[in-house]
Amino acid sequence: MLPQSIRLVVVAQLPALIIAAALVIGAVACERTDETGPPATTIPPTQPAATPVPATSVSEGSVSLGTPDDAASLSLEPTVEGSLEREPQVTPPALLPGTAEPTAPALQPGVTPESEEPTPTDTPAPQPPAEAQPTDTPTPIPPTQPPAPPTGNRVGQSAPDFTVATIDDDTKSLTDFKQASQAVVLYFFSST
Amino acid sequence: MQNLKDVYGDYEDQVAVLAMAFSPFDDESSIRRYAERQGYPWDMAESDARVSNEYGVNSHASAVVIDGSGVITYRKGYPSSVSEREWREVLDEVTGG
Repeated sequence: MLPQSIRLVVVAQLPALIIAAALVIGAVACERTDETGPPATTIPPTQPAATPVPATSVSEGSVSLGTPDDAASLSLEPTVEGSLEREPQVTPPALLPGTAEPTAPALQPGVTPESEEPTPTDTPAPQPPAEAQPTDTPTPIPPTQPPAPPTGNRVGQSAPDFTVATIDDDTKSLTDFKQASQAVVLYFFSST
Repeated sequence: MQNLKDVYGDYEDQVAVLAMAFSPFDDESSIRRYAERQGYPWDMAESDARVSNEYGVNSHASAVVIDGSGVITYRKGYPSSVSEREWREVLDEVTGG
């Protein structure tokens, strides 16, 4: 019965156990690499995870070579029995310096310059077509206005075309004057 | 049209004048007599309702000046009041003089 309950608790707290195990493995690895020299320096960062032990392990720092198994067993037990308070204390410092902070700032500077660069390139692109349109519109206006007589009899407008037979049986048309680039005075008169 | 006639000698090579009656009561014979009496040297024509309407001329004399590109540069109702000086300014504008 007890091992089953312990298993359930262990399964429920797998993430915390994984972190604790990783810390323990890291501590063991450090100890194994530095077998003789500085175990005392490497131990302190790992031990805050398993706070109950440190007093004895630090004092027995010279014995640390023989205690990795004991430390592992001890570290697992306090996490299972133990309080949820100690585990969150360990996890936040492990996550913040490790994964969360470097990834987030790495993405933000990468995204913002990309988003800023395409926008300036896009804004000048629509401008030339906008400039091209007004340049295109004035040119088609002259040919389009003459067929609109009501709006063509004011100053600044294209004069309505006309073809008139003179009393001397001659024909005068505005088209001929325009082809000759000749100005015309059209004088509407009354003889009375 | 007298003031225009007085200055027209200086522009006749560059500016055409077409005098058109705006009233249907001015027939060919009356127009011819009128032109001979006044000494107008330019072309005269009978009224044309379509042209008069397109140029917005109804009940009184009007002058419309069109430059070589077909754009109206000047128009004046009752143009007999236009002085020779003003005619010169108007014609200089369309001849570049």
